[in-house]
Amino acid sequence: MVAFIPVPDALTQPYWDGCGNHLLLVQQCRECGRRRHRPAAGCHWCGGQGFDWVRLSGRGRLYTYTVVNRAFHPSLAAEVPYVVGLVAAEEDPTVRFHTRILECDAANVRVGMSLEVVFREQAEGTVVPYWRPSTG
Amino acid sequence: MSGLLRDKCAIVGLGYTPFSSNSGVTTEMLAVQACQNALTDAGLNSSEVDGLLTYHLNDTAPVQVVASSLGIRELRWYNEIAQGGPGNCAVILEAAMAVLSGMCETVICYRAMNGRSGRRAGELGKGGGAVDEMQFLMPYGIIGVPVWYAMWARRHMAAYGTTKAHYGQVAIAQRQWALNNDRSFNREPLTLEEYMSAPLIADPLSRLDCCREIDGACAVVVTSAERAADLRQPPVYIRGGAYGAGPGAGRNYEKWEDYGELYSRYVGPRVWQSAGLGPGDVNFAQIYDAYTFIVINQLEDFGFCAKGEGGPFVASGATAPHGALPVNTGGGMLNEGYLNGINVVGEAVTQLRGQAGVRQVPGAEVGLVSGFGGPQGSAMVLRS
Repeated sequence: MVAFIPVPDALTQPYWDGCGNHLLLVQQCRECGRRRHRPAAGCHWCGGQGFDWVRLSGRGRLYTYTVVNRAFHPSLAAEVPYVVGLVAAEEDPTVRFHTRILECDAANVRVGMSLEVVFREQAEGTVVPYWRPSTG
Repeated sequence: MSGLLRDKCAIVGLGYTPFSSNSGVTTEMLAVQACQNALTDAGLNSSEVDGLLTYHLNDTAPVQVVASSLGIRELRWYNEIAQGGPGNCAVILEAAMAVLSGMCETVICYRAMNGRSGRRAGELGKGGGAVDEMQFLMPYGIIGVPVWYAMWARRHMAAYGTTKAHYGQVAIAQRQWALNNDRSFNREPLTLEEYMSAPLIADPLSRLDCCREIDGACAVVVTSAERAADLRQPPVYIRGGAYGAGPGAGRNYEKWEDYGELYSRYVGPRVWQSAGLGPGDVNFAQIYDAYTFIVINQLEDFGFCAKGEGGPFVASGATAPHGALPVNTGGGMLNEGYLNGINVVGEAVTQLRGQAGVRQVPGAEVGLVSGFGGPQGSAMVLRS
């Protein structure tokens, strides 16, 4: 589908490795215990440098979204219209993930709707998490 | 910096190049032309300039090259601020700090870009690897600056009941102002029907919610209040200002806590404190308007109306010609084009000099200017 493949770096490699195992991992600060995404060198709540990778349930709610009608890259011309958004994790709504919303018609997308993560192999060896309306 | 800054420095020169879709010249040429026009406006020559400052996103000529081509023989202070929108007030405030420190006396602040014919905002290559923060955006097709910001607009709608028509009222009010601005590329009134029927780019934003990318440059000369006293133009004093960022700032914005607010939640109270004034004390506001919806957000954050009331406030006609709070009195960047907000500063200067012609706000003595970059931004109060 999309022409762009994530290139992991020293900060994000564990996150993408987790995706490869169908696990949604985020950093948890050893100082204040808050979780965060996207991966960062320090905690934006307290500045703590130490962290552990912890698993989230993969359930969340749609914080905001947009229906994209114009392809801003040639590779997206056959995709429009499509829905992208920001998903707030069930465990902590300040932990949010940008995503394409799959299996959701543009007419039915709503702020606050329940979503679940689904992992897709976007290229050989690269698994990317997406979110779709909850099935459970 | 509140007490130190107050009215100690002034804007004494303003210069533009033509705004176009294809300048046919380099960014160095644009910068030099705008700076020279600003010096002519001020009644200064380049030997009287010893500071130079710009802001950019790696899309313009180095400031030292521009200094050389202006014939500045000895540059005593210069800098480049690596950012977009927030740079518009930041350069003015930085220049004032440099002048106040004694490092230099007279600074030209400018922004020059071939934003239409050259590299366009958010432009990407052919595809392939998505690095750094783009790892978390581009694989999903979150590509194109309006796509990012449409999500902020949608959140404000969900949280406060703001409607697409409210965003339309921003575009309509500013179009009314634009009718009397020679730099505007829109010279016909905009109807709500026309606005609502424009094809969406990224819901809820259409072309009429987004400013047009252009080629051009604008320059502003800052010097001490003493030096300003015997120059050609009436001085426009820098009353106060603030810039910065809220928690969880930076790009991508996943960590920004409330998409119904912008940087202005943080910068707003500080700019008023710096100026010793409040939202009731200004005669107009020039609000950074890369998009319609951010005008509503900022009007709320700066305290011109209650949080969530920005849509109805604009719909009441308050910001249009003859309204209680004239906003973006040249039509804003929605009608002049996207020059990263330096032209938003320019309109404030023109109004405070009383040189805005048909669109002049009667008795304009104090005005607010803002610069937006999502979680980061800038603002200042200028006075005549």
